[in-house]
Amino acid sequence: MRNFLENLKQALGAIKQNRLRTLMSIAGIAFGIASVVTVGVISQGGRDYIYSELETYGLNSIWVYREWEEDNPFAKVREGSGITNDDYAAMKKKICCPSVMMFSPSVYPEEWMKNLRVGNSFNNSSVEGVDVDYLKINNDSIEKGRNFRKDDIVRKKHVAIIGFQLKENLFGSTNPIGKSLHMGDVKFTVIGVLKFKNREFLNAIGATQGFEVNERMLIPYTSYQQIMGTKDIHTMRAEAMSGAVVNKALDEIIRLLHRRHGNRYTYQTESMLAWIETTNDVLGMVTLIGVVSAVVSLFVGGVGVFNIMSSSVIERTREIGIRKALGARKADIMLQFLMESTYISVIGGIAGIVLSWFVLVSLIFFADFTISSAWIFLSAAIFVSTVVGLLAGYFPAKHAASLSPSDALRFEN
Amino acid sequence: MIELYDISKVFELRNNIVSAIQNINVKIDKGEFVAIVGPSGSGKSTLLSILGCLSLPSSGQYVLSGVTVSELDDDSLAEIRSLQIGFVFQSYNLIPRYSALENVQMPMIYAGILEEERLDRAKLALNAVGMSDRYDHTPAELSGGQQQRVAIARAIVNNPKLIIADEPTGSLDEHSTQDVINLFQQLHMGGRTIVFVTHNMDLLPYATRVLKMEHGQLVDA
Repeated sequence: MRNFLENLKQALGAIKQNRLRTLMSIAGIAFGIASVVTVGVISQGGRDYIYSELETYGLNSIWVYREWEEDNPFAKVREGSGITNDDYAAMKKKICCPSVMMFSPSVYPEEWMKNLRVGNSFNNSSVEGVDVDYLKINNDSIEKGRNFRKDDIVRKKHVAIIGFQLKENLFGSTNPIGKSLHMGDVKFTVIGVLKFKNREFLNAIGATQGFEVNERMLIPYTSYQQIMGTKDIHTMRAEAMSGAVVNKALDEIIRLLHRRHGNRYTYQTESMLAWIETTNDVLGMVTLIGVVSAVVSLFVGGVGVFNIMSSSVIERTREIGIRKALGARKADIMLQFLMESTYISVIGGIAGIVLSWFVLVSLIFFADFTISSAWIFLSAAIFVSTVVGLLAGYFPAKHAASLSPSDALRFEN
Repeated sequence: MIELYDISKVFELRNNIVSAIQNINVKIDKGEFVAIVGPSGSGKSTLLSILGCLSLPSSGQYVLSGVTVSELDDDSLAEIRSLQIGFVFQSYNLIPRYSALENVQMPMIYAGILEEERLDRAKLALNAVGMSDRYDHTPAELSGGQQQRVAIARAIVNNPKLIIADEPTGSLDEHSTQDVINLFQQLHMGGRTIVFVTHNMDLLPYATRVLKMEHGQLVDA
C-alpha cells in the first residue's frame, strides 16, 4: 500500500514536470473514455427506448392478410379476404403450425374508422374484431375491467374494450365499466380499458401512419362479422413461439392457407423482424462511430502518455541508477513506471467519466432518456484506461528497467 | 572476502574498444579498510563499480564471500547489492523529493522489510550518524555534510558486510570531511569491510591498505 501511495506521489510529480504534455494526454484519454461511456449509454438507452415501443406490437407478432393487388391486371378479382373462420379453426389445431404460440383473427371493414358516441361525446376511432388471445399477442394489458371471455366470442356479445385515450375522451374521469357506447345504431357495453401505450418515437418517425393506438376499440370478432354480414377474417394475427422462428411460423400459416384455398389467393405477411433489424443497424452505426472516435482519441492520449513516460525515464535516469544500487530489481523499476503511466491514464479515464456524466445529465434533462446499466460502462472506462496506461507505459518502463546501474549513475542531467 | 582474478573491463565507444581496466588481481580480507587512489581515468571508478556489483567485468572472475559474482544474472546481483553492499557516493545521490527518513528506508523497501521495522531501523541509522533531529528534512534542506551522513545511514541500514564509497568526501569541506571519516572509522571498528576511492591524500593514513591505479592497472603503492 505504501508503494502505491509512493508511486502516486511520483506520478503527480511527473505531471508537474510536464504539465502541458500531461494535460494533453489526459484530455486525449478523457475524450476517448467519454465517447466510450456516452455512446455506450446512449446506444443502450436508445435500444431500450425503441425496443419498449416495438414491444407494444409484441416482438414476435406476425400479420397475414390477402394481397389485393393481383399480378395479372386481367385476372378476375376474386371475392373475399382469403381467410375464413374455417381456416382459423384449422390453424388452431396444433398439427398445422408448431411454430405458432397463439392466434387471433382481426376483423374490420374497409372503412375501419368508426364514429363512436357516448351521450353527446363523439370520437372517431378504429374498431377491430378480435379473439381472446389478441391482447397477449399485441402486448396489451387491461388497466381496468377485464379481457374478453370465450363466452363473449361464442355468443357474439356486444361488449367492448377501449383504449385509454378513448376512455378519457368519451367518459372523462367517470368509471366506464358497464356503461354503454354507440357505434352507429349498435350499442356496446364497455367491459375493459386498455393500459396506455407509448409510441411517441414511432409516431415521430411516421411509422404508425397516424394510427392512434390509445383510441382503439376492440370487440369480439364474431360480433363484428355478424354486424358486417361476413365470415371473412381480414388479418390473421399470431405470435411465434420465439423470435427465431418468426419466418417459419409465417411459412406454416401461408402453406395451410394455400392448401385450403388451392392457391387461389396470394398473401402478404409482416413481422417485427424488419423493425428490429433496422433498429439494430442504426444503433450499430452509432456504436461504430463512438468506437472509432474512442479508438482515435485513446490512441492519441496513449501516445501522449508514452511520450511523457519516455521523457520521465530519461529525466530520472540517475534516480533509476540509485534505486538499482540500493537493491531494486528489474521488476521493481518496471512496476514503478507502469504504475505511473497507469495513474496518468486512469486520471484521464476518471476525467472522461466526469465529462460523459455532464453530457448524459444534459441528455436526461433535454430528452426523455433513462440510463440503464451505466455501471458496466463505468467499469469498462476504468478497465480501458488501465489497459491504455499499461500499453503506453510498457516500453518506457522496460527501457528504465533494463538500464545498467553503473551507466545510469554516471548520467548527468 | 573479496577475490579478483584477472579482471578486465572494456567499453565500446563509437565502434572503438576502450579498455578501462586490465588484469586486476587482488584479495581484500574481511574487515579491511582499503583506499584506492590514482589519477583521473586510471580506472578507479570502473574497478569500484565492479566491486559494488553495479557492473560485471568483461573477463575474469570476481568472488565475493565465496560467491562467484561475475557469473550471476541481474536479479541476483540486485539481491547482493540489496543485502551485502552499502554505497556512498561523492554527490550523495539522495532522492530529492524524499525526506531523510524516506531515503534511508529505500534499501529496506527493496529488501522486502515491513514498514514498521523499516521506520525503527531508519531512525536508528539516522541516530547513529547524528541526524536524529533531521528525520523529515528533504536533501535540499540539508548541508552537504548532513546529506552525506544521511547517505551513510542509508548505506548501513541493511547491515551490509561491504561498504563501497566513491570519493565520499570529494564535495565536502574540511569539517564535514572529518565527520565522514570518523563515521567510516566507526564502521571499520565495527568489523565492516570498506573500499573507497579518494583524491584526498589526508585520508590515506586512516586506511589499512592503499591500492594505487595507473592506466587501468594496479601498481605498487
